[in-house]
Amino acid sequence: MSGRKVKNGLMSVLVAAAAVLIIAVLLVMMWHIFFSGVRYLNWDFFTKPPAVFGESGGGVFNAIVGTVLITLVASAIGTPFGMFAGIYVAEHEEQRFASAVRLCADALQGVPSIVIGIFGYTFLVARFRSYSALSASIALAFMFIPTTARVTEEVLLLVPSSLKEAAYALGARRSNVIWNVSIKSAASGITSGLLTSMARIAGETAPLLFTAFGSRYVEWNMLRPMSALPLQIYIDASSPYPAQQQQAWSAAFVLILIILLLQYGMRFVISRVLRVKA
Amino acid sequence: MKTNRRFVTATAVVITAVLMLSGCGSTGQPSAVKALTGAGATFPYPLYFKMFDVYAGATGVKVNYNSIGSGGGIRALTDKTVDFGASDAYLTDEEEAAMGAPVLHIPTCIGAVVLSYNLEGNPALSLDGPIVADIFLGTIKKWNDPSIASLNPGAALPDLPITVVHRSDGSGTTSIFTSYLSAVSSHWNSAVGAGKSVSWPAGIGGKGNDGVAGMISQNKGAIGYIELVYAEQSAMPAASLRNSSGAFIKPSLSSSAAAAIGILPDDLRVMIVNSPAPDAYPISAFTWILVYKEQQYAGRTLQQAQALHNMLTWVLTDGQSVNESLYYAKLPQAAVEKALALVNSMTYGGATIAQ
Amino acid sequence: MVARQSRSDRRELVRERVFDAVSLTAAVALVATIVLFFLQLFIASRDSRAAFGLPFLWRSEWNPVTEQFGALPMIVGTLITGFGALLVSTPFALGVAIFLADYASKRVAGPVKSLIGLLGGLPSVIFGLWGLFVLVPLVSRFEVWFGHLVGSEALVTAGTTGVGLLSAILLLAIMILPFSASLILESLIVVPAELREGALALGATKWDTIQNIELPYVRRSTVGALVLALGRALGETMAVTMVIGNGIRMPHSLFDPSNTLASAIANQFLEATSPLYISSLIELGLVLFVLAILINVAARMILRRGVET
Repeated sequence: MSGRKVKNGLMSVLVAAAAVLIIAVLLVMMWHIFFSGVRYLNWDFFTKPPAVFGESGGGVFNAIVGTVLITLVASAIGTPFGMFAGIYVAEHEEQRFASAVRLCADALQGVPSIVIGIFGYTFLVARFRSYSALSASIALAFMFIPTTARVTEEVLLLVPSSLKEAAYALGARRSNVIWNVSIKSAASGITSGLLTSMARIAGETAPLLFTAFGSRYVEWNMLRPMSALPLQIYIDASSPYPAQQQQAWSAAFVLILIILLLQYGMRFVISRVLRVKA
Repeated sequence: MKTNRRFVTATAVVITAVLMLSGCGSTGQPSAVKALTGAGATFPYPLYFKMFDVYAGATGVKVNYNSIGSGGGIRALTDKTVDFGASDAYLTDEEEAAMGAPVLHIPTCIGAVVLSYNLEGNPALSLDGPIVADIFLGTIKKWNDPSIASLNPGAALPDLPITVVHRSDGSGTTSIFTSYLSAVSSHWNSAVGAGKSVSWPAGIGGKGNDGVAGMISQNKGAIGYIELVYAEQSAMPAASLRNSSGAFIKPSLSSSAAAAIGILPDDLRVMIVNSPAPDAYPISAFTWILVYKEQQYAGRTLQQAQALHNMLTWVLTDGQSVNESLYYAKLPQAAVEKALALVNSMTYGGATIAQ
Repeated sequence: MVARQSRSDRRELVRERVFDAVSLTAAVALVATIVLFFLQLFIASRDSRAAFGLPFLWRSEWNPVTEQFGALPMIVGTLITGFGALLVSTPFALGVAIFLADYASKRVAGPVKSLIGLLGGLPSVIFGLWGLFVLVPLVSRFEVWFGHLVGSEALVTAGTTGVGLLSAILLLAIMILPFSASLILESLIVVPAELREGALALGATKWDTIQNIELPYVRRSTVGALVLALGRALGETMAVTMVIGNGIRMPHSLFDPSNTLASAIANQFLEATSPLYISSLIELGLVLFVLAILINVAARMILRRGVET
């Protein structure tokens, strides 16, 4: 009896200690990233491309533009594929092929990003004889599609079947029911899934190494090499110059801001908009 | 229903806007090419960064150069994913064969590879080829080894293990350094050999000149090889080396330029390590921009070829004034003349490009 | 009237067909992607497979100068870092999950969960940045201290830089922790309250309940979560590339610089010039691809069966 009590107390302490230790490590990490990043931020950092060696100032505007463009195009390419594949699986839930599709989506989610980078290089860059932001977007779309498909499927399955049945009873066709009933009631779930997927690909580095390639200029042409924040962080972090190491920390801070904006800010705004309209 | 339609419309608008935005850069500008892409050696990166900055200001042509290593530069040119490659090592016959067409080697400056280290107080060090080879072979393990001490009677050498830092990526800098070691140490030549990436018997790897310089400055007892410019810019110490005529020479702009004095071949494909010149710092080398001699390939336009030709001409003439401010030795006049002749031999569809 | 009715009917039918065709195409495209990936990697690694055959997997030499390539050092590096990270992080992941499910009040659990969610969404390159500038110097100090402690000169000589297997293991452990902890927490939360309350009513201590009721209940999903976390750790690229030191020989101690399959590709792919070198790197990618797919499918199967029973 007392043995059990002692054990209970001991294990409780151990659990609490593990939790406190980990929370402390995670907090210290956040603190480091936050303050190291904020310290060197200024207006130029958001509006100017990197400075020439040995000169002070400059920023990562080229990389911010790159991250935004590459992520948007990747999502634009990936959204229809991902959503329709998700709809297919949700609609044919019981069928063999649908579960094969689901399994493939799960497997694709687990494909290491560097493998997608190799694929992007051998399949796109080497073939079309040019590094380009577009090839980076296509590579990232391969990461975007499976997550979107799974989210769409999961959200659609949550739609109450009574709602669908009511629509069928009114004589509506299947495509109509899916499009106007299921998707409508699942819209906010799907949107937040899309935003989460966007946030995830915005931070990816490995697929960009061999495709987007980087550029020191502010580049708007998707067919040319382009910089991106994760790429800039990787390059700056391995530099011996303190100025560039500082730039890496600040760029990391900006990247986190963009990710948070996608993940929480946009979701909040969109859920408000959808609710008001509905 | 209404929500849904608006949702779809909004998505469609965003997608179209993005695609249009991305498309607008690609259309137009049929006559003047405003952008060139190059990739390769990390060693001349600061020089090219500055040169192309000046060039963009003067002509409006933006040259995007990424330092991914000399191996990467050769690879990119072979795969034809760039307008020009850059390398610290000239192409081997095998590599040139893989290119499938003649490639020109245009030198842009002379660089020196220095041995930098991190010791308490950073005393001045003198070394010779065999000692450096033994350190990188891992047979000399401590800083107070008698062979090092005999060349440095004045220096207080600590009882500290030597951490060797080398490049982890394929690199022309490694090629220069290992060709030097192979030239001065038969042991090195048979055990390791020369190349852009070799199987290192000792030490840890850093990526790029940057990575190696970073690892040296972070670790007491480290020694590694980096380009002179990186040592100068980050104020790191550099060892003097005994050259082939027996003199201890400190690496500098003039001592590395001195290595190129002599007879240069017309194709400028030459290694100048362990130079016989009496004032030469022994680990000196050209760094090259590599381009295809025949520019009509993979759908390239005459305008692209002209833009490349103009840029190369500028680098060899006006651009040379940038070199010394960034610790790169200028090309000797004889080398510039031969290099300009090479640039002018570029063709487009068999016709010369030079205007 | 009747004609018009049927025309709009037909139009709807066409629309339905198009809708079905589009969604089927997307589904087929998803399956085709996996096949395309495999084929592309398989074809592009042709030279290497022809030169080394299956022994590529257990050859321990990786030498670009002599063009001898074997994947063993990278496979060993991948397995050591992956399983090492799992070993280090699992007790903590379990601890945090149990703490949040059974001990913490809502006011504590909420913020902690958001913190964990936030870190789970951080890009790999940012973990790498932190690892390089914060964790690696700490590990380096530990190495020196440890080297003196055991009196091992070799250990101190091997490098006091901090980059190497140990740093990679610790960084990976931190990276997969938010992922595995939140998965375990999800399954702990759905343990039926009656089970828990019943045990407590019978006089069981809190830990008795956790040990005898909750943990057996979530065993399968926990194993599934840990296998998924392992899959992540094995394929993780940027953070590992930045702290592992890029050694290409077989590691002899936890302090040695090493390489994983992923970090070797990240470091060498763009620089490889000879066709054999390039295709050997692509074959590393093929090995990694197959490994990741197997682990992922295994994890999902464990998890799915866990849901059914």
